[in-house]
Amino acid sequence: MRLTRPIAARWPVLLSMREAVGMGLAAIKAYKLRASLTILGVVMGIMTVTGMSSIVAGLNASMARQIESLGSSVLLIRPAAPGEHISDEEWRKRKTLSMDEVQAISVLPLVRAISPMEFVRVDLIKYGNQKVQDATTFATTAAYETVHDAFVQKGRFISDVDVDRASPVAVLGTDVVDALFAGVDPIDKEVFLDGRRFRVIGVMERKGKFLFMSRDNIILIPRGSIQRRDQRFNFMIADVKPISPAVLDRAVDQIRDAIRRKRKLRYLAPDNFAVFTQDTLTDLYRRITGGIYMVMIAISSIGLVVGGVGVMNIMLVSVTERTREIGVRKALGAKKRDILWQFLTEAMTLTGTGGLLGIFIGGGVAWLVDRFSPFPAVIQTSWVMVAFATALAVGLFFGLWPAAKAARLDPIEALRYE
Amino acid sequence: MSADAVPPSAPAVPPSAPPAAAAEADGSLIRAEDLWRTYVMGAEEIHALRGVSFTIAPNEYVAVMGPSGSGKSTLMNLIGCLDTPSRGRYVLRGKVVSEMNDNELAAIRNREIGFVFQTFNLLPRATALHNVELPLVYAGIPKDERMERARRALAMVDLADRMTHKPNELSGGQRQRVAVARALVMGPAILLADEPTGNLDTVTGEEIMRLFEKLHAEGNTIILVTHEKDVADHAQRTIHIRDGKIESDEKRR
Ligand SMILES: Nc1ncnc2c1ncn2[C@@H]1O[C@H](COP(=O)(O)OP(=O)(O)OP(=O)(O)O)[C@@H](O)[C@H]1O
Ligand SMILES: [Mg+2]
Repeated sequence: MRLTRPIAARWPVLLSMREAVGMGLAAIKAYKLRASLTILGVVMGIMTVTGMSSIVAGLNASMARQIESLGSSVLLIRPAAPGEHISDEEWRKRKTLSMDEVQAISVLPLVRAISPMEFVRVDLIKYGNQKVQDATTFATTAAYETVHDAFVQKGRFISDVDVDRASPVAVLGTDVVDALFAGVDPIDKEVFLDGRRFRVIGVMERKGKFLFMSRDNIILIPRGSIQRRDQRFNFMIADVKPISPAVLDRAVDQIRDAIRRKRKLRYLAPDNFAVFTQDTLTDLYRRITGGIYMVMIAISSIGLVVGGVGVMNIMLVSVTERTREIGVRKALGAKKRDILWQFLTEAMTLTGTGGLLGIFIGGGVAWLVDRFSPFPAVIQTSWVMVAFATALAVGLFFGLWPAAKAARLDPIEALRYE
Repeated sequence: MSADAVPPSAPAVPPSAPPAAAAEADGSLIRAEDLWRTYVMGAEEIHALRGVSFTIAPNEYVAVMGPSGSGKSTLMNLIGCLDTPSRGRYVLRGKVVSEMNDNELAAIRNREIGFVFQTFNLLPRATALHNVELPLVYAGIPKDERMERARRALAMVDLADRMTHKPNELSGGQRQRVAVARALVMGPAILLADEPTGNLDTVTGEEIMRLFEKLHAEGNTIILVTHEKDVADHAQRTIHIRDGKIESDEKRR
């Protein structure tokens, strides 16, 4: 018997839902200012979630692509690991790689190639009247190409012979070429690095950006082709390609051992250098975005609680103002459950409207960021849905007390209320 | 069957064909046995009703009269299932209402009772049609049928041309007619009216009384509270109440 009864007969609530949503919207219309102020918090909270998740997701996507493009199986040898906290005193103790150490690493069984790189301080690069000032100059070896999967698109790369002879030759990144050689073939042209004459032998393939910095704004020269001038700006780092990505972690251990032995570090002394993989970068990045998510959740929680309390207030006022109406509804056959749902639905209509507004504004912000800033942004359907569900949940939670208050009203007293 | 459920066979009789109300064995639709209603205010006890008993048969037209504060509204609230007696038994259509819980009472109010108030009590923001539709909503009736039945009820009180008007766009008499349509739309066993003409001028009051007479002629059972002799004269039976007790119960014709 029960089963044959239409669902609607058991849940009149479902039938009156549309009515309650209508009432919620009517309340917004009737008290435009008050309603919009109260849902402002919800709007802000949901806007934050929508906007920030889109931006973080955009960053994630481009970050993943960029970290991959670095070459997934490269080991980095640096004075310190990213994210590692180092005191000034400790910094002074750190030593950069020596050619001797590079040599020792290159013969390790798990190492296929090592590319040492010296940052060379060059203030001014000139070709004819054209100048470049912000390019990075690296002194490196022929192994650079193998280790970084970076090849010349034109001309040739630095050879072992160039390194042996410290020949004054240079390979340019595309940004430098674009800046110096508008419409001119750069090969065999002469450029001046702080007044020193170098012959252009090749142009690197375009690499694009990494962490929003161009990787094409570089000049590569053979090691030793420029004398060291300023110690601080001539330290050496190296990237290593192991024989296979599978031995990455073991290769890290081998390299650490080799450097420690060369530096004669005692058994318990900590490393005064760092060897790490791309994973370390990814981890660091995850920590940062994790932080961003925390901030996002904190901001939106505050907004949602403020909005929720506002909604509770407006609902309490509404219940009092409509005491008589509640009495009438009860006289006509509304059960406690019907009244409860009516006011809960109204509260959820308020917060849901705030949520929709927040989603639109947040989505708009994300779109603007994607369009007009260097940060990419991708709207996350899942986060948008979570945000909307949260808005509804806030309405449900903060609407519960006023709605229960309405549902408990005694019909006669409610009818008599002036 | 769950506590709040209403018998699935509960007839949804359209207002144009009033119910041949199922009566008890003795032919009564309403049976009140020694009803008391006591309000406790601090240490003081106020007996608004002190042992009221009567029966009402289907299709009776009863007027309840008495001085102010005598307990008329209290009695109507009990009959209308808005309230439960402190003592005594109240049987409506064979069902012992005085022992029901909140949800069961709500269902009875929805299906068996049609209430008309002195102050109309229409929802101010809703149209006439929507006001009349309301009891059908709580009965869980689908939209199409709701509209159809609400329209018919409004047509019956001659308001077919005012369906989309809101209460503040209607005259007092028209508002009360909307309220009557709303009270009748579920095809209730009884129509209860607590001073339905109290807020209307004499002419409009007469108009409402003619409507009640028509409804009575169509087979409805009506109980009406009034202070006015003219109004009570429309009824076949008058119950006089004083100090919470029945003073007299006269039938005419
Ligand atoms: N909620 C309440 N609390 C306490 N006393 C009440 C309550 N409701 C009614 N009473 C008392 O019960 C008595 C009967 O009230 P009731 O409203 O039934 O009178 P009435 O006959 O309808 O009067 P009127 O003609 O003025 O409408 C009155 O003395 C009133 O003060
Ligand atoms: Mg009264």
